Amino acid sequence: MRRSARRSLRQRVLVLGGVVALVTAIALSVVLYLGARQQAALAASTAAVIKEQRIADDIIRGVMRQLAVVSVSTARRDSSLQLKFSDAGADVYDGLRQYLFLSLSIPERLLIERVKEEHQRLEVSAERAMRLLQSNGSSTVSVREEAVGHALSLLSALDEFLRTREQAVAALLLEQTRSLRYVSVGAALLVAGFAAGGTLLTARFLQRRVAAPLAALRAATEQIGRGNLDVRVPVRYDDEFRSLAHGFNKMSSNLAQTRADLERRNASLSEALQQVRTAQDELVQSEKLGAIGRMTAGLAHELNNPLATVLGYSEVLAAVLQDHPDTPAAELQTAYVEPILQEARRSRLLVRSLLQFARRSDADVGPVALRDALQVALELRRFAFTQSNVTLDTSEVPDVTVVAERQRLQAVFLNLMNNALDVMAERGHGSLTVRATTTSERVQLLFDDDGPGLAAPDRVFEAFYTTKGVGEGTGLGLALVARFMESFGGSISAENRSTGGARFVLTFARSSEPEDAGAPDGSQHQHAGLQVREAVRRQQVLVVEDEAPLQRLHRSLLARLDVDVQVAHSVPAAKELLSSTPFDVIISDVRMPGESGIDFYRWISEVHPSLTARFLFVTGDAEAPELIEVALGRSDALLRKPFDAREYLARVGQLLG
Amino acid sequence: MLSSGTHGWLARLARTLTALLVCVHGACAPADRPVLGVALAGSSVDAARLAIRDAEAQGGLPLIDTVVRYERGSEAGLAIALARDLVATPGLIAVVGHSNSPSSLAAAPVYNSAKVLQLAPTSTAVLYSSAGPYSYRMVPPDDQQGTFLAATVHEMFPAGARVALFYVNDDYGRGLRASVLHALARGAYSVPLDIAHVESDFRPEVIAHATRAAKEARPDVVLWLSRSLALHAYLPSLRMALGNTPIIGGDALSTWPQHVQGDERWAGVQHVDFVDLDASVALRAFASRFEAEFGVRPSGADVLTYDAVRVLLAGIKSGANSGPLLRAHLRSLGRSRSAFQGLAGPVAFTEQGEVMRGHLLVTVPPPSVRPVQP
Repeated sequence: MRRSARRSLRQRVLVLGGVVALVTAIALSVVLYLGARQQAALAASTAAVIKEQRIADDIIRGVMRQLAVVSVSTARRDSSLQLKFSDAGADVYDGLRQYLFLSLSIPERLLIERVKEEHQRLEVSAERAMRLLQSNGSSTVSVREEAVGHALSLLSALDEFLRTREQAVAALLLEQTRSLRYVSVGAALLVAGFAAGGTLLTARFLQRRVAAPLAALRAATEQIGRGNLDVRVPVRYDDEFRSLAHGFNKMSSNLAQTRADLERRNASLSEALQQVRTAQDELVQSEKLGAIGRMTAGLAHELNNPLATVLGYSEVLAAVLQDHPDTPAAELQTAYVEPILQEARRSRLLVRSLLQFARRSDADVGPVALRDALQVALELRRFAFTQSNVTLDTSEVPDVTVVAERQRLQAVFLNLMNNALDVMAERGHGSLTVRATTTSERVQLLFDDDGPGLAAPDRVFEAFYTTKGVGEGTGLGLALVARFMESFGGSISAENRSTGGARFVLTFARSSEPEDAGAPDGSQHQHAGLQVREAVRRQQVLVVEDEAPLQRLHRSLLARLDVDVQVAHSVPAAKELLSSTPFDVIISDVRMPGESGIDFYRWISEVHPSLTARFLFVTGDAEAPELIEVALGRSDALLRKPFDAREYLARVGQLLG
Repeated sequence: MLSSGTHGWLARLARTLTALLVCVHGACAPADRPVLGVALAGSSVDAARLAIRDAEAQGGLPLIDTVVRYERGSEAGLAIALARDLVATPGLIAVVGHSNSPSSLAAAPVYNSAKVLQLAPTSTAVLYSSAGPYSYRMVPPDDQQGTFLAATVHEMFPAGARVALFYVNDDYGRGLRASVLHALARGAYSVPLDIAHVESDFRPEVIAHATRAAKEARPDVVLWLSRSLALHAYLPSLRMALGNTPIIGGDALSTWPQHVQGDERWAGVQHVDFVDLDASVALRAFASRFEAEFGVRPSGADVLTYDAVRVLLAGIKSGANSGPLLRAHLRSLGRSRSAFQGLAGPVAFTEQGEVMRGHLLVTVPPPSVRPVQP
């Protein structure tokens, strides 16, 4: 079983360094040893050569000395000469003995034995010659010649021996030189091998022990950078990286835990926020409805006036037509019809403003036409101001677009107007001037009244702070105003004017984009006769409307378009008609008993999808969310009631092609 | 087709492989049957054969081969050639030889380089002590013999006696002469004649010259530090010139029976020996058996040869089947093992590899009491 010892990187580096140092030391030692050995061998060979040369010199010198003794010996016995001869012979013999104990080849040994034997003969002959000379003085020439002959043989054999040794030594030197070369090459290869091995070992060590864990750590870090907090670094390698991996994994785990906590808290906060928004919406809505409730009397009067005018003029018109049927149409138009139209349009504007104000909407902040929003509030409170003898001047409000949300902005305006009206109505007179200052980035709207002023300007935006009597206010109006302004990215402040009265300053971010459609159409069209169309062929128009007066109105208007009109009082009746008649255009109310116009549209989408492009909703509740959803992408599919006859004919004419 | 160079290279490779195979199956393989070599001369060869036969007869000896080579001279060249021939024999682990100091010395490097144990029966040259770790001998070195000879002169002759010294000018004679002169120098002896000769140079003028010199020296005793063959050549002239002047020789004279055939002039010649054939019942029995078998009375050298062969065979019998093992066996004698009990006495070796053995002075008897040579 393989055991993996846990070590720190520091220990491994130390071990690796130790191994490399040891290996280097061994390599160097081997190289030095081999070099020293070769050097010693060369030195030994050199010493041996020198020694052998010295031995040979001693032998030759000894032989020469012996021959010299023989040559100088006389008839007179001379013991000193004899001694010299013996000493010289001993030197020769000693030299030969040294040779004998050398490591010699067989031929060399034979030669040196031959030298020895010749020396033995030389000595015997030489001694005999000297003894003959001393004993009787007889001629010793032949004996001397014999000794010299042995000496020459000796020298010849010695010479041959030395030449053989020279060759052997030369061969040995050659071999040692070759060995030295091999050792040098081997040492170089050894060092190169160790260097290469050490480099590979070090590279592999760095790759495995440093680069790999760092790469894993980097990859994990990148993963975390991409948001993957589940990534973990493998806990292996050395202690340092194990600790790092442990720490990293713990950090990653903590991050994941923290993120999960944050996500949970975020979800809770989102939920709470949604609840707050819902509550806020409900509050806004209740506040708005409360405001409407408080404004009901004024609104009723506001509506009664035009209705009274319409009713009165209509009755007068009817009487004139009955009493003076020949009255010119132009006179009737100018004297009766125009006032009726004007007051009817005024009523329509008031109703639309009320609907817009009361509508529940999403708090989508975006570009809002400032003057249009102000106009809605103004229309709702115009009568109240007039009745209370309080003047309302908005003439200095420019036609600019600010960043806000239309419904809330209208609520802001209405709240400020109502507050000003409440305090000044008690007095029986007053004025509220709304004016604006603009820069390229900001729009400031100032609401100045000449009322009694604010008791505590710094507290007016606190929730439930009110100076009104019990049951007259919730204390949330201005608090909501302040919240709304904050939600627009703007602000509101309150102060007392130095000349008396209160001032509210609303600051908006200015928007360069125009507001989407949605503002109540307050345009005052001049009545200039309705369109009359002559068709090439008789086209079929289906009108789905539950109220008979409106059915008749549709018929009257559509007659001007030269089409055949069939009217269904309900959706099932319309479906039945569709089964038998191919219609070119369908005009439908939305709110009807039973199935609604929206249900009918959905049925058309499934059964007669080609007719959806020629389907026109005519409704008094054009702001209904479900209707907006159905008509999404087709702005021309919706016509608000009460509608303008001219617009009605134009829209239907477009659908007829 | 192979080039000639490639062909030659292949041929060399084939020869090398063949040599390796031969080596593996021959010399390089463990010696299953150890070979014992004998390189001697004269009756010593017979003594060696007799020893082998006796050992085999005793039983317990593993199968061995023997190679026997006669040594026909004492020249170094002959000894070296003979040693090379023996060493080339596969399985050779030991050699008993050679017959004298110069030949033993010349052959010793050959045996030592081959790690073949060399056991010389009679080589007494002092130099032999340095011949090599595988070179042993059955006799003590000549420095002891020189002392013994000087002591003998001291016992036999009064102070002031004249000593004529004849020596053979080789490793044996030079070494023995040096030790004798060194020992005689301590006594009041004069050496009026100190004359050398070479082996086998028996020219009449040379002998005459030596004899004349000896006569002129008027010695009281002649110390013959040479071999029996030389004395046999010189003895007629010496007796004529010196009469019955005592002649005392070294151990090399112990082989006189090989040369002497009823020569009256040898009677009374004394020489150093290491073996007294009458010293024990075993020696007498050996001598009788040897004489009966080979027709010649054995010399001390023959007895030492017999013992040398038996020592080695005892080592082989104990399991020493290589030169190094046999050497270890010899070194153990007298230490971890008992000394080998030879005919000539116990055989054991000192730390320096020398044998412990005493010297005897033997007198050549007159022809009437000598055995008849065949």
